[in-house]
Amino acid sequence: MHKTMNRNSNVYTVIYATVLTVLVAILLSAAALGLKDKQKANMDNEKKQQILQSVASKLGKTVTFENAADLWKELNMDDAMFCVNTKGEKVEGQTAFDIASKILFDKGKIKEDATLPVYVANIEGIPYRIVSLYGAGLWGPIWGYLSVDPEGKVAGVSFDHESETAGLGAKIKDDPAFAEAFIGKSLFTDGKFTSVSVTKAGKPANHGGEKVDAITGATKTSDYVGDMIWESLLGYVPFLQGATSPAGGCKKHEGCQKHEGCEKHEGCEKHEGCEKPCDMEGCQKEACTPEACGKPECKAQCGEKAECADKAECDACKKAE
Amino acid sequence: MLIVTVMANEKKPGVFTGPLWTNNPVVVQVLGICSALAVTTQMKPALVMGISLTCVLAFANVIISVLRNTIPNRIRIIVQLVVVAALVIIVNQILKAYVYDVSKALSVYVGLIITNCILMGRLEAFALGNKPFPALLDGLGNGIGYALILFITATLRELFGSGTLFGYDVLARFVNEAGYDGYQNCGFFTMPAAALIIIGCIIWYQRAKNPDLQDK
Amino acid sequence: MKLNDYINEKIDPLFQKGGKYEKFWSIYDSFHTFLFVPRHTAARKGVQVHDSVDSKRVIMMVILALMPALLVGMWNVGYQHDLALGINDGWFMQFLYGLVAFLPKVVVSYVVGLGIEMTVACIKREEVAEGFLATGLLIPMIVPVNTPLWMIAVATAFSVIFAKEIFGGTGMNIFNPALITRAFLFFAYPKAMSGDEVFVRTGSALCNSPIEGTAVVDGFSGATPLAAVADGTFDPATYSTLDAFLGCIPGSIAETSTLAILLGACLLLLTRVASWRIMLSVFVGGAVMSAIIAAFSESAPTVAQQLCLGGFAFAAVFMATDPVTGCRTNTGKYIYGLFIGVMAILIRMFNTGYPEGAMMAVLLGNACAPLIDYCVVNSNISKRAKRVNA
Repeated sequence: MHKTMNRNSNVYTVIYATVLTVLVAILLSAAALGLKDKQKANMDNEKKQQILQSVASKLGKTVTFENAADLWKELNMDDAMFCVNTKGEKVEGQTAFDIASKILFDKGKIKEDATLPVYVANIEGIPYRIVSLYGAGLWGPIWGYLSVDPEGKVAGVSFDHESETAGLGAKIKDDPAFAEAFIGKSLFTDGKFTSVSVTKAGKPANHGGEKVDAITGATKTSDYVGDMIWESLLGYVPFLQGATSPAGGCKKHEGCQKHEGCEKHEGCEKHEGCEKPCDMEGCQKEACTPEACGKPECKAQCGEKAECADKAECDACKKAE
Repeated sequence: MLIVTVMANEKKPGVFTGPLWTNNPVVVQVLGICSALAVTTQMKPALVMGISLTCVLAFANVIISVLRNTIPNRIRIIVQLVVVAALVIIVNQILKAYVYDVSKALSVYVGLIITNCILMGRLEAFALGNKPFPALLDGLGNGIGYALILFITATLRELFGSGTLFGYDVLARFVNEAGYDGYQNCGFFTMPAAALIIIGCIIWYQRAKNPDLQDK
Repeated sequence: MKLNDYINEKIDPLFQKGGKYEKFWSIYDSFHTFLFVPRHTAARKGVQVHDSVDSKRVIMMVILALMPALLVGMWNVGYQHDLALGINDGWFMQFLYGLVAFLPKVVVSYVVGLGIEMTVACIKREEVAEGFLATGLLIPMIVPVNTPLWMIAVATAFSVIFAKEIFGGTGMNIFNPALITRAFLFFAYPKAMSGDEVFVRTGSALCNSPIEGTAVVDGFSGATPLAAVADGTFDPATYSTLDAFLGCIPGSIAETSTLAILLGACLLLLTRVASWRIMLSVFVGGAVMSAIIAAFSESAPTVAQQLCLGGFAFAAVFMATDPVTGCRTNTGKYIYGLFIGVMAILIRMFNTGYPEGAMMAVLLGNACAPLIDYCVVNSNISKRAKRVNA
């Protein structure tokens, strides 16, 4: 026995090392495979929590690591997510949830050919689009989710960070008041994307439009949050504008809810510039009042339409033309 | 009691109790300081780190001790590393699967258990030359000794740095209920430097109590 | 019976060995030497040079030198308060306001600091060292006016114990205890040490509780100019360097008036309490570095502004020149000073997390001082060795 067990021979050493390595490899693979599903579920759950956190105020409850999965199912989120490209068109063939926001960026700018994830949470009949944010913080990356209501206003945000200063920069995640300040701010001014800036109290917004006060003592991290929102949303702007702009757009159904009579897609396109509520059949009824008829644009409209509400008025229009 | 009797039988007094205080791996041997500074901001990660290290150390000690007569001398360090690394990876996988938030807080430090000096130190110094049972006691003793220091440090750091204990609001609420609302947590305690000072104070206290440990 | 005799004959024995209050000898002795001539200026044996200027009197000189900055600083506290509220009740009331705001801080700092020093001295049966007399005054001068008293107490206790006593007390410390106090506050309670609201007191003088019927004027910002530099909103063209030089800007009590600091510097240099080498080289280092930065960036403050803003001048005159924590060799003093000057401006301009670079730079300089001395001494040794061998 002892003769064959010369512990210092080369053969013994090599065999020992091989056997040990194989044994350890088998053991580790078994552990990794056995626990994989559970780990994936945890990571997904964390992401779901962050996504849903951005509509927490609309849900009227706090989203925790524990209830995130249930809420997710309740809102049927798995079916309500899709991808868009930077031109605002839907992209098929990718699962939005599996896209890591980090890879969408190149040197802090969103990539031209990026495929961006969009999640839609339907709460009390109103669809909130949740988009993903990613950017550089003061000490490490920061990221988050921002939900937009049909009017182009922020419905809520959730931020997270890797290593911002505890008690100061970390407040972007820990201080609910900071996230709440974003709610109701409009991302668009007169149809133009102006984002929501984060600047010191008393200072104006960076891009015009609306702003949120920076966290006292953490101006830098706050600045980076503003930059992150601006840069990340730039890629989403065509999509958001197409979907939310009340005037001009109307190409998509969801954004049209405030527009009476805009139930049909096709009809909506004809409504350019129509600011007043109008309805498909008797369109121009309200816009085509005698006073308005004198205006050139009304003439053009009246000329195309065969019947106006009041024949006499319409005749007058034609005459004037 | 059991442990005491067993130790008397083995004629190795202090294999288990020694590392708890008088021969503590952190404050006397000054091993494992890196992780003691890094994971002690909150109590939960510190506790989990302590338990993880104790498990890994106990198992590794036993395994190496069982194998001690078969391990080729030339690759003994590698064998120790492989055993430790395998154990650590398993612990890491389990944490990720069952206590996700803790594994996030510990992040790289669980992986760093592999390089924790306490492990290699105990394997090389004790497990290679002793029977499995004393090796188990030694592993448990050193692991718990390490966990103890981590726990004390983390308690102080979380209480004063974040005002909480295990995440429950304690200090700020207590101070505020006492009618003083200007209280702020001491951010200094959340920094690694504070851990160094706290461990320094523990060493200070220990040396003052044990003249044996004082430098002559 | 004269008071002097009474004290020597009746009270002294109570505290001497075997006396009733033997334990409190350290405390008694410290007051005795503070008020009277030191008991023993020389040992009994050997030849000594006598000088009645012991360290207590050196420290009195430092405290005297601090007075101009302190007085202007106290006035400025009231002045900024009036500016914020849009009122003006005359320089005397402004000074009084600052005095009332400042006094509790100095009391807290002395009570806590000296309390710990005396306790330690009693335990170790040593004389109470006099170093804290200056430190205790410096601490309230370099923190924002709205720092809560309990924070000052905690920070003072921390620095006396961990920056001083564990190293062996006065004269043995590696870092300047006053700056450690500030650094501790800076890292422990960052909210109380930076921002728009901490440097200007808008409430009542004593405890900053809001005053009925007053409101902060619209557009008033209590941010220090250095905070603006860190923000990137600083405009050197519109900024009044004269205000910064005279001391009418928001800031900690001592650091605002460069003029008053220079007056103190004159006293320190005339009495040779502080080293002119360190003081000069800090200013030179800072000026050179700011000139380089100003040459590359238009939004950076000019050289004069850099030297007048924030705690730079104060750190150069009172902090860097601390003989305990600075360099001892003459060549070392130049290197040490230049290093602090350059680092202060670098940290200020390039690390936006720490707008006040001077504090960090001096502490860094403190850490490097023994190394600098070591190198200077060793290079001297090798030079001489070469000369002998040649």
